[in-house]
Amino acid sequence: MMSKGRRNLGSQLKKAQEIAHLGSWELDIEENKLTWSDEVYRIFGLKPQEFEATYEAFLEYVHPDDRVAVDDAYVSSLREGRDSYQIIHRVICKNSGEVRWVQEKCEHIKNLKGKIVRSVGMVLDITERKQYEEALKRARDEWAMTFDTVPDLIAIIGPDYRISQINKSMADRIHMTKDQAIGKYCYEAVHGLYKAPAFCPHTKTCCSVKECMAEVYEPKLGGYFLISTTPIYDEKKGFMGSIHVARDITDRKRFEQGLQRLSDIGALAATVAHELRNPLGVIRLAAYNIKRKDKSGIIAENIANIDKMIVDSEQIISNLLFYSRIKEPHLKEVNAGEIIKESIAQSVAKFTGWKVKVSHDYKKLKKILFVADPVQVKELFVNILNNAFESLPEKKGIIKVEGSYSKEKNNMTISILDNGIGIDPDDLSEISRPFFTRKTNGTGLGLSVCYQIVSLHGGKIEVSSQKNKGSVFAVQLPLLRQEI
Amino acid sequence: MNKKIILIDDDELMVKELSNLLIEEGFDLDAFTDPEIGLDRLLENNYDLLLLDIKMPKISGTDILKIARSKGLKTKIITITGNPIFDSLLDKESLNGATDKKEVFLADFVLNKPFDPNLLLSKINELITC
Repeated sequence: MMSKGRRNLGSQLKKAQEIAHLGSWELDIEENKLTWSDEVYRIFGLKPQEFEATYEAFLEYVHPDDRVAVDDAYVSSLREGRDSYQIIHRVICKNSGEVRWVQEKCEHIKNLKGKIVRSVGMVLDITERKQYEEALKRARDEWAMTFDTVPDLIAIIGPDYRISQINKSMADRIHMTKDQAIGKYCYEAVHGLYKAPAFCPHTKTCCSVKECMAEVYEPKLGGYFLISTTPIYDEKKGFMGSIHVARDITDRKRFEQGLQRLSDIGALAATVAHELRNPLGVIRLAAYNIKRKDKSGIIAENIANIDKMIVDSEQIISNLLFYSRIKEPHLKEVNAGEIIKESIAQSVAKFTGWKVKVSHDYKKLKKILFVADPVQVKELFVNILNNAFESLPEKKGIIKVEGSYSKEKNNMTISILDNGIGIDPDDLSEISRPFFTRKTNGTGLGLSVCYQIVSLHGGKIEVSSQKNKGSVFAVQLPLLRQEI
Repeated sequence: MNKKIILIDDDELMVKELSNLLIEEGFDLDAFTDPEIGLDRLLENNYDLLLLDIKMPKISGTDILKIARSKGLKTKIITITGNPIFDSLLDKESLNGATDKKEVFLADFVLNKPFDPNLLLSKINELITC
């Protein structure tokens, strides 16, 4: 039997329950009489003592997904004659429909024969704690995901050079799982050494407890990296190690080296051009003077040949200068279809008299605008087209120009196909190198300039070729230029 | 009266060939392979036209241009250059960064070597016939 004193909680206790969002209840099993304190009613979104509580009524308020578990927890504890049980579940507030999280604890009271006659329990509203926990878990998951999705290679390294944390990019790059890497010495796992390399910025950070940077080439990983090590300093424990961030800068580095090489070629070309133009100027003038003095016209043809060769020489110098002077593009909005059309026209004009069928299918690019240097991009297509022409044996064959774009990838692809002599498989890796050529009279700069132009525009060139069957040059360019 | 032309170019053969052509064409020509002497004569006399090489020892063509223009000389000037930065292939935009481009544009016309002698003659006539 329940005593009056239990039902009427003291006012101080009531207040305490309200503040703590902690309700209490009692179930008299023999009489099947359930009593809730006021706070239980409030947690369930009801007015205190709004109705006579029953176990069935209580189950009504439990979240449908949790109902079976809650019932089972209670019933099984009775069946198995346990002294207590606890469970965390959700309830749905009657009026607002709001979902709240509660923690329930229950103790069973037995009579002298050991039979459970009463259950006493408490209901603690832990919604806020649950929300806090969920936010924390979300934050932790987000952080873990960020840590693992950044392309930078990140590791946390202790003063003893052991890896204590590593992200997915880095683990993948050193061909280990995270678990394999954690605990290993960084110099062993990353560099394959038995002690830290001389450039190691972590060593410097360990000494100075300051952020350190190093730009290194790591042969084991086959690339250039910009490494920063940031000290982790704990007020109590002192220096704990460093956050080691490595960024793969191989592409940028190779690009810079390419630009440097072209810049060197440019300086050389400028000097040679200047030195050659002077004597060419005198020869041209002298030839002109001879022609004026020759009243008979006997040598007119010879002079004309000299003149023609001077003009040709000047053209070679100009080309060399143009090729070597590729620098930062002057960007404008360019119509893709227009520029391809102009390029084809220019290239076709150069090879008039050849028996070449030039077909094209780039209708999709007719209205595509992209940001580029029109002079450079035209140079790019004309160069590849000229190469296609020159690859055709006996001045006849087929050239195809195809264009398409991808909205998802935000880029377009222009492919130039020919059925010419093709490229030797051994030469494929060489074709982007300045001065590499298999032509009898080529500078070997054409394609290297193409690669530079495409790289400056944030795109790429893919080449496939079969000996004596033909080649395909697929130029991929971004529709909106991304900063390199 | 014949038009008076002064030629300053350190390349002797260029001076010989140009002299041959211009005298044949009936101009009064003073030619100098030493740019310092050439500059003095330019400032002392009243020439109709100056033919000026750019790359020369002691005083460059661009220096002579600046001096001539700063002294208010009315002489028409054609510069002759083999310097690739004034290549006709380049648009004006890509001339940015060429240190002496302003000075070269002080000239009335810029000829790139190896120039067509016909173009030279027509430019001379265009500039000094009035």
